[in-house]
Amino acid sequence: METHEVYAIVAVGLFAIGLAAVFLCERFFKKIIATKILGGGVFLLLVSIAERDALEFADPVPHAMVITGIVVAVSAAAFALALARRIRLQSGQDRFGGEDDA
Amino acid sequence: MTALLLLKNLPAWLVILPIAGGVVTFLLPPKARGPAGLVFAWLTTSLAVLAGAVIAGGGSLSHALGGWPPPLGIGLKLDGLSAVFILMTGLVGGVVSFYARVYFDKVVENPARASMFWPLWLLLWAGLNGMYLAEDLFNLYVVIEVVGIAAVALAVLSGKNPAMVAGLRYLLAAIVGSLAYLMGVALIFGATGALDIGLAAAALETGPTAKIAFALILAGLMVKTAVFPLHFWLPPAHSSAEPPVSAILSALVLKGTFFIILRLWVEMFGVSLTFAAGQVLGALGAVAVIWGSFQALRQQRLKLVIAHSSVAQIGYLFLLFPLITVPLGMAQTPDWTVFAWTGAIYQVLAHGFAKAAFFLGVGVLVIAVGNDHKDSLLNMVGRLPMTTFAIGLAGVSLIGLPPSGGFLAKWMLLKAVFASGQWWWVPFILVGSLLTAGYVFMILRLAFAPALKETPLRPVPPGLQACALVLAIAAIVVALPAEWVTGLLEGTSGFGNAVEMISGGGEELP
Amino acid sequence: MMWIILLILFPLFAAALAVRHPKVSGQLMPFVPLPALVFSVLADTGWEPVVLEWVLLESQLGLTPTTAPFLAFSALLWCLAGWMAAALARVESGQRRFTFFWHLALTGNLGLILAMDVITFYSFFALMTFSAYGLVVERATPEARRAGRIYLYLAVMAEAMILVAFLLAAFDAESLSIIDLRGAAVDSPYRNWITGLVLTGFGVKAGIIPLHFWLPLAHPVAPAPASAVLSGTMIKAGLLGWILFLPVAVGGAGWGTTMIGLGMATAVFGVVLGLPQQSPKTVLAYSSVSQMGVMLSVVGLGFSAPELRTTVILIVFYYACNHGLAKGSLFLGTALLASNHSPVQHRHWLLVGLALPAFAIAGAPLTAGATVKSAVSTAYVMVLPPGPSLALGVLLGVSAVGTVALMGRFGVLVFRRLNETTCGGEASSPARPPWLPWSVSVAVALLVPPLMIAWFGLKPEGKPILAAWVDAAWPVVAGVLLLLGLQAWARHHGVLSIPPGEVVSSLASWIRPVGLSASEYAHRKSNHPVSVEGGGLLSKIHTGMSRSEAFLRRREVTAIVLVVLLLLLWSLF
Repeated sequence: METHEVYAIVAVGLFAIGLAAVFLCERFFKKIIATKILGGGVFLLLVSIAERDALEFADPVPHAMVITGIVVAVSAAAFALALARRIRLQSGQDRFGGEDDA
Repeated sequence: MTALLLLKNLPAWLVILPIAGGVVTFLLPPKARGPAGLVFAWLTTSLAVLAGAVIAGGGSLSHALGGWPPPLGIGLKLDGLSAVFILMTGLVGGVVSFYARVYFDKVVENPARASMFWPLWLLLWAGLNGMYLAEDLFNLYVVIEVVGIAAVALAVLSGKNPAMVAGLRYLLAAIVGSLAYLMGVALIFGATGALDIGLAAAALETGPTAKIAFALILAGLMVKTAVFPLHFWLPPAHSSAEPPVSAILSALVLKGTFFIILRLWVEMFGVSLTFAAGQVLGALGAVAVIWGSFQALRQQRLKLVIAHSSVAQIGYLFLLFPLITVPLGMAQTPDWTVFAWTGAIYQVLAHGFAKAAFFLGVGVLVIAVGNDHKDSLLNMVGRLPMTTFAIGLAGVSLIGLPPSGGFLAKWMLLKAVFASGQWWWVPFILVGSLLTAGYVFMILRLAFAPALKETPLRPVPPGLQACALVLAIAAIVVALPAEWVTGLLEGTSGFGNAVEMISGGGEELP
Repeated sequence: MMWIILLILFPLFAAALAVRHPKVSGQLMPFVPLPALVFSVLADTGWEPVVLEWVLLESQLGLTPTTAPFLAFSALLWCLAGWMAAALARVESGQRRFTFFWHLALTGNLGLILAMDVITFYSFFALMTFSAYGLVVERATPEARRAGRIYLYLAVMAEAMILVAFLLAAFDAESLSIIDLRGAAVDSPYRNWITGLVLTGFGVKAGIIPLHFWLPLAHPVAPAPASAVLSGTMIKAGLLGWILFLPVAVGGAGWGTTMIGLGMATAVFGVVLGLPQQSPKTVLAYSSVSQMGVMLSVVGLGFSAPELRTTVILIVFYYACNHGLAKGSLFLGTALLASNHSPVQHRHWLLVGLALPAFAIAGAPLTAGATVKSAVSTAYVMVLPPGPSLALGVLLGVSAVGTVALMGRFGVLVFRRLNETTCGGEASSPARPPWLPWSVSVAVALLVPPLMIAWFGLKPEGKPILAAWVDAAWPVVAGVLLLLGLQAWARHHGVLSIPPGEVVSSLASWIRPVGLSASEYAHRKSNHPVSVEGGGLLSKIHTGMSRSEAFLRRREVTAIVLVVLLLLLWSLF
């Protein structure tokens, strides 16, 4: 098995773990971490794609995508954390209130 | 010369101008943000109108950012379809901006905090225009994220706890949706080495990779479009935001991701599309129509009524997909696809105007009465006649009564449904209309009923009432230039096209 | 002929005027329909429809020999009722809303008659239907709001049915013009569907049993002028809808029989259900139901003999015109019941003035009603084989007798009202009751229908004078006897009372949980979810829906839904 294949399999695993965790975890903080794992899976897949038969060298485009993606993901996560913190400070709430929080 | 340059680079300006506006208003002191933001908003509206006028002559306008053509550079393309979406965004955005200027200046308690509305809203607007113009899958991911984050930030602007909790839910859903989309894009890039939609579609072959990529992209975008049963985040988020924000979220933001789905469905998914895939999307839309309308009917708070109604109205849009997915070799022949397209686009327009009018009108009510419970509506017809009238008109369009945009939308959709022989969508469309009539008339009936005891109304700045009315009238009169809009759309390459499904998954259509 | 648009813009403008200047707009009420009236009488009908390319999907307006008479008598009644409303308005306050909806409904009514294409027709039909809601709930009493609610439910359902019928027909039609659409409907594979939907959809407006129950609730609760136009002209929009859109073709005899049967059932039961009513206006509303039944049966004749379509339309129009003007005049007269300090001799005049149009509806000798009834029975004989035509003739006779009794019942109730010291019927009592507009309306109701025959060249079948007299007179005698008998029976055995809108009382418990009324609502705690103590089917759905929405929001469910959707899409692509 080649290196990039191992990467790809790990990436899919991370994606699945992240996806499950983001829904199943209860606390805001864990949910946000789960989105990071989800994003990690996607970025890892992109990195593994850089290895392509047609090219002699690693394709730079996926790397550019990963860098952009990381920037976007970091800001989203920062925003989410800030929100969660504000909610915590305001009401002490650290999870969605079950069925009737709408 | 300058004018020519502006026209040639119009697609770029449509994105750059609001971004510039966002940056400028962010740097300005809070007091100056409102006036400056309104100037930028209206400039963007005029650009949108200009885009409509330019494209009305036929053809499309392509722009390669930085002069680098794809595959290396990023392409922007303005055609009839995107022009209609941009125009709708521009018109609704222009009116909502004016409302927001008055609202955040005169009504809210903390104008300094509320002034952050302007940078966020202009950024969101830039992102939406980007969605309608981008030719590039990864670029789309970036604008999806920009729109998502800006939308959530707007939704929590009030700083109240329910809004923030709803906003966090919205944000998590948005992140999951966009990452699923990016995962799909990564797979497509891995298979084709291209990110430009046209190039990738040309290089793509059917197979497991393409299929899982499509599924991820579609599911991700459906989360963001709040299609049943993935609409869980929408009602709390849309109903707890400030009125102009609710209007933007419901009327405009949902349409962006719908546009991307539509675009990819027609231009890319064709390589491995089945009859059943179209049917599933249609079925989800049909259930959404019933589900959302029924939920709207049983809500006690007006903003929740409207938010659930959005779920239903978005459902109508998804009826387009089964109708434009046709058997192999038939892509040129069916005559109903144009009806289906026109119906769906009109649904976008009518819902955009009507829903914005609805939220702005209820905003006026909240200012006047202090809450948005159904019973604060009592005797509104005598006390806030203009707003009641606006809500009534918007309701007429939502139900689909003539002569409104909503009527044209449903008429065209039904026509396409009958012509295609997929009659099983008929009951959903009609029952949806009946249920919509149920909650709209419930609202009007309460507005007509005498109040047991009249609480004094707080003064409402007159401009706010007018904004709701203008948008409501737009939801009606948008039906008038039907020929013009159809003409505009028919000039586009994608419009009216059917997608051929490659394998069965369902029996041949009659 | 471009200025045909003005006929519609004029009332629309008056409606807009009502927002700022309700007084001025109110004063305009009698004059706004005048141009349409003049136009319908003077304009010839041979010209091409005006096409407004920029409105909807090419709106077309025009006037045909079929629609011109409808326009004439509708505009006429709107004028008279508007005059009455304006006269009453001088003493009533809060006229803005009423004037606004009045003019909108008028726009809709005129527009649907002038429409030459389906979408325009449908638009104006909807405009009229929903503006009429504003007229029905004008009084804002609990009964008015209940009636308005039921009216809306049925109206929306009817709109949906009509829309589907139009769509089915439009599928094969060359254009959206009404003529093309009807032509396409005749050859359409969905012809039966279209016929059924058009029949039912417009049947709601026309008050055909069993869809009639909103009508005796809604027509009487409106102020008198509004009742007059509701029962006089707006109800006829349903009739016009049938005439314009029913795909009459050879081989449609089954539908013809159905319609004749439904019509006759309505004609008879409308009377039967109306006789025990306690309010004069409700009695009038039931009489409208019954009369629309007769008209439906005549439309049904057209199905049995398509070649006689033109004749049938003439008869129906004539019937509608007579009934519309007379019924309008009767409703307008009820406004005068409130004037409880008018001198005694005025009361006698009121009774006489009400009796005349009532005779016209009942078809007493010398009235236009007699001519119409004889034309109807002649049509039965012409179209149907002897057996059925005889049976129908008998039924028509029964309904005629019943109508006389019903009109008599109306008279009795009016008489009682006049003798009571306080009158509950009308909300206010004008200091100077508007006698003039009402007297004119009585004169119009008596004289115009015969004049209209002459003007539009309609010739009902002639009969020997004496025979015609006898034909017309025996139902009157029998009807009076029937009424006397019933009154005597009621005196001995107590009054049989049927609540207005009988059917709906059983439906009401079913509908309630969703359509909470405003007053109920006002008593409810604000944040309280809709209570489910009703236990009906709908409330069960309610609980179910709210539970399942919460269910969908649970985290594990969301996760599963997303994964299932992913897998589903994957497998389907």
